[in-house]
Amino acid sequence: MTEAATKLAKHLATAAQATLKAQQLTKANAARASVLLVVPPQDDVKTKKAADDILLARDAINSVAQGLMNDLILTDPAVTTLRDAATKAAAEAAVPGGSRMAKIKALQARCAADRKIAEKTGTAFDTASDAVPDTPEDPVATLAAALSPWPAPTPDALIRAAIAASEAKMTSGAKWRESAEAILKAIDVYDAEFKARMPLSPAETTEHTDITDLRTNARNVELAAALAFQQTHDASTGKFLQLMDRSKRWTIWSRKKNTVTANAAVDQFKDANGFLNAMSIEGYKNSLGSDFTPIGRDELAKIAATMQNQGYPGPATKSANLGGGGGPVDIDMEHICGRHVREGYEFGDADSGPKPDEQIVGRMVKGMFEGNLPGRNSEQVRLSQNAGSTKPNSLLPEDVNLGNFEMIAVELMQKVFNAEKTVVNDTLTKVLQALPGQEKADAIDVTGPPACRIKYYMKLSGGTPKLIMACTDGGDQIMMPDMIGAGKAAGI
Amino acid sequence: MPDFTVTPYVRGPGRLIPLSELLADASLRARYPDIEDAHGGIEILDDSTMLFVDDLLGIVAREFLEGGAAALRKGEGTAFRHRLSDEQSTITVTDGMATVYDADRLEKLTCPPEDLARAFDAALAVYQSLIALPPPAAGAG
Repeated sequence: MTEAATKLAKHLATAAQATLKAQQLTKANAARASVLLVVPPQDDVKTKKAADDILLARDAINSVAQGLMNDLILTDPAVTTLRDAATKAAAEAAVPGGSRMAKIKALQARCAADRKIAEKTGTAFDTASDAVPDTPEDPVATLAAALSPWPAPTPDALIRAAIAASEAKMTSGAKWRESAEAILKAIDVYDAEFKARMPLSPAETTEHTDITDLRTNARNVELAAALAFQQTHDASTGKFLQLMDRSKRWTIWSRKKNTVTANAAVDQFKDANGFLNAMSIEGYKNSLGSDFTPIGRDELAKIAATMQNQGYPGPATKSANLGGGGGPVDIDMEHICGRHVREGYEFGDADSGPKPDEQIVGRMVKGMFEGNLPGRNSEQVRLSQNAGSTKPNSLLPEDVNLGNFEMIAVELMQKVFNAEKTVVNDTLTKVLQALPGQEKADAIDVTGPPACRIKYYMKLSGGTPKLIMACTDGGDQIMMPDMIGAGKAAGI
Repeated sequence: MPDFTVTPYVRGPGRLIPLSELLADASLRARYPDIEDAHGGIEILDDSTMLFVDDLLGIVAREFLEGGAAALRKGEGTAFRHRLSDEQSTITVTDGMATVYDADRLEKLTCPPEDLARAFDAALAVYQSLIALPPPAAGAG
């Protein structure tokens, strides 16, 4: 790009950013106004309106984020060089008769460019987070009589800028990961093609070896780096936590200060904190050593297509008798089918995730009412409580359905009994009685059909072994915001 | 008086149901014939914290409330391993103050350990009152 073209691009980008930032503020104010209209009794129309307005505001945040990324793409030489290389590689791969290796190299070049954009946005987010100052006093402490004056200007604009930078980092990180996964998928496809044609000619053998040699690097280097980047966006540590903490403190400080000296900025802090509260559960999460990373758009679309939102209609518990003297057992059908079987997952049910609109509004309520949570009305309390549980959703494989789950559950319990029984502990009840807490959690292979590996938890309940939880082991484990995204994508 | 509340609940369709409601309403109670294994837990709430420990109600009551109060009285923290997910909720005690974290470590509440222990005792008492009630009559509710 010529110097003149770069200058023009920067000028246009700056002008566009000013407009987009103004829209971010306007839409955020509109979203807060809609949330405040959510009052008892429960009214799904009002909740939907509030959710729609929040999503419009999220779109505005995303537009500012896209502007940040476009600025990098257009004007940062480190990025433009890699983008140009990716465009050239894609053109070479698109030539009729282009080799498989050329196509892999094009994907690698695309991934390298996406990586550079992500790393740049990561740095931009860190800078934006650091730009948000801390409050002049600790607002969590008892309200002091002499609070400092309102700063001029108030730092709400800096928090909005950091929110947009956070969105840019999350978006570009997801894109980098998708690009890394695309390399692996292409290698897998070509590998399958070669294997289907065995035996190969010497030339094909060489090409097959060259391509599959790239797989380890794609998985352990490129994809691993992309995942590690996503893991830096963790709301429990680092710059994201710093931003969350400062936003919370400004929301509480301004709420208290506003009672002494009114300032309209108090509402801007509430808005910003509402969006950050939603975004806090959209990044990486680690708990008990388990990693939860947002899934890519392809995966989200695939999972959304399997969700039927019809609920589990049968009895809450089913009973069975195990063979070989294993004795009676119970199965918590209501929970397992309602939470882990795709066919039975119904948004808003006690066992599943919240209704998407309720979750979206509930997260916003929590952030807006920071410092005054008891001030929520009962409907706002209900929504924010529903949105409060952010457990991951672990779905059983697609072929497990309401019709075959009971059979699979009995097979699972039978296998556990067969593996654990002894001369003394000759029923599953006795097996569990001999264990600490009279409970057992593990993973086991079942033949089904479908054959699959299931992670389970069972315990003695009223003296009878009860299968309480059964979910995928290593399959689709989806964070709640992604599940809500899948629900919205499915039109729920 | 601590300026936070600890409320035990069970999960209901579309909302969390405080155990105090179950205590007062036999027909509602009848929907939870196996209350110890019901899905639920506790909500810890103050002006700025809305923190959930959400799993199987009976296990949260025994391990987090009862076990947590005992640990706090010894000046120790504790960790609660969730049964329904690969998550952990924790309590730490540092410099004479207790901090309870949710499984995401996004929400936390810091207070004197004795205040937290007393609040846990009160929540546990509600749970114990509930499980002490006779089982609901067949067909009730």
